[in-house]
Amino acid sequence: MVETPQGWEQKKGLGHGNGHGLGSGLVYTWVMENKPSVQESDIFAISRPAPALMTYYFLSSLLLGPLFFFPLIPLYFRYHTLRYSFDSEGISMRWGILFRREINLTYARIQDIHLRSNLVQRWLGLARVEVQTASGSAGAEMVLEGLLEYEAIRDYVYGRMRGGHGAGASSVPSAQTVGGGVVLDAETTSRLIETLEGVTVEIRELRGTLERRAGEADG
Amino acid sequence: MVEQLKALVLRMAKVPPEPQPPAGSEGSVTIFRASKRFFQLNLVRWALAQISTLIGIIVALTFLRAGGLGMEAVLERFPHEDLVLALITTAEFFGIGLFILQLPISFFLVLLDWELRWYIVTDRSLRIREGVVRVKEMTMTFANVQEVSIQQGPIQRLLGISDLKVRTAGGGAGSGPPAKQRQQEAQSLHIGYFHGVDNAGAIRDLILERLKQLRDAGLGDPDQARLEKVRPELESVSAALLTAARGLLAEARALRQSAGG
Repeated sequence: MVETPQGWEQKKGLGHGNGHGLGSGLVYTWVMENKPSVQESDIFAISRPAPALMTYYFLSSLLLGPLFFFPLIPLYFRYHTLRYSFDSEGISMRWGILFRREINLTYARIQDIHLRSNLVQRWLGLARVEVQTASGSAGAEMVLEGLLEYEAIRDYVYGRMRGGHGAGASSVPSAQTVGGGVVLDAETTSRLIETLEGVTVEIRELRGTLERRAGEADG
Repeated sequence: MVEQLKALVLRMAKVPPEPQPPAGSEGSVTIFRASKRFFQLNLVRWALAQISTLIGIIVALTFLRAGGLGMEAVLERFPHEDLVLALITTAEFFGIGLFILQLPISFFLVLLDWELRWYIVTDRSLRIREGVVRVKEMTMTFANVQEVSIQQGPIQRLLGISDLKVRTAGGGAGSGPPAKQRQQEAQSLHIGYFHGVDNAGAIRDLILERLKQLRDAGLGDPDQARLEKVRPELESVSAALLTAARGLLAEARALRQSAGG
C-alpha cells in the first residue's frame, strides 16, 4: 500500500497535456484532492521496458552517423533482454545475452532517487529513474530505463525508502503520548490497564455484595 | 509576447510543469527558489562568454583579411581561386550568422535555467528540480542526509547569495587533482545543490531542525520493520486502556444505581 502523496493532482490547462506555470498563471493549478496515487499491483506488474525505449536507442545511436549499428546492436539486445521485477522488498533488473548482468537492491537501502530526461526522451514519454544506495560507486547503482510510469515508480520507491513513509524513523519513540501531552511508556500503560481492570472487578464484587444484601433485606 | 514565446518553447521542449512535492505532512511543504541575483550573476557570465567569443571572431576575421593580402600569390596557384575565396567568405558569414542566432537562444536558456528551479523541502524529504533541456529531479529523505554545507565565493558574497549542499552517504570522489575532484563533486548524484539561494542560512536551519528529530546514523537502519511492529502494538495498547477505563465507568454507574443513588 502506498501513501497518497498529499493528494496533489495536477490540472492541465493546455490540451497538449504539458502545461507550465510561468508568469502567465493561466496554465495550470494545483488541486488538493485525496486520490489514491499508486497501486502496488500496477508497479509489481512492470516487467518489460516500453517499446519507446527501442526508438530512443535507435535515435541515440544515429548520433554516430553511418556507424550507427555499432552501438545499436548491443542496445537492441539490451532492450530485448531487459527485465524488471518489483516486489515488496526491493527491485531487481537483469539484461544481457553474452554478458549477463543482474542488479538487486532493497528499498530500505536506497539513498536518493533521481529522475532525468532529455529532450528526445521527453518527446517519447520516457525518463530515467536513477536509484542510488550508499555504495562507493559515483554513478547510480540502478537505472530504470524505458518506463512510462516513471513518476508512479518514483512515488512508490519514495514511499518505501527510509524516512519516506508516514512516520519518520524517530517518530516512533518508546514513550507514547496520550491526549494532552501526557507521556506514558508501554510498560506503565499496561500496568495502568491491569489496575483499571482490577478496580472494575472489585467494584463488580462490591455491587454483587450490595445486591445480595438488598435481596436479603427485601426477603 | 515574451510569455507566449516562452510557453511555446516550453511546450515544444516538453518541459514538465512545476514539480510535485514529495509526500510529507500536510502544510510542511516549503518551496525555495533561486535568487534574482543568481540570474544576474549568470547573465554577467553569459555576457562575458559572448564577448570573448566575439573577440575571437573579430581576431579570426582580421587575420583572414590581413593574411589574405599575402596569400593572394599563394591562392593564384590553386585552380579554382574564386571558388575558394567564395567558400571562405561564405564560411565567415555563416560563422557570424550562427553567432548572432545563438545570442537570443542562449540568453533564453540562461533565463529559463533560473526560472525553472525548485527546491522543495517537506518535513521528511527534499526534492530539487533543475534543468531545461535536460531536466533533473532528485529526491532524498532526511533520514539519509549526512551533511549540510554552505559554499559562497567572493562574487556570490558581494551579491548576497550562496550555494547550499546536502549530502547523502556514498559516491566516493575519485583521486586526482583538486580541480578534477571538484568537477566530479559537482556532478555527484549524492549531493543535492540549492544553487544561488539568498536565504541559505534559513534553509540550513530548517533542514537541521528536521535532522535533529532523526537520531540514527542515517545508514540504512531499516525502520520499516520496527515501524510496522511497533505501530499496531501501540494501537492495541491504547485500545485496551480505553476499554478498561470504559468498563470501570460502566461498573461504577451500575454500582451507584444498585446502591439506590
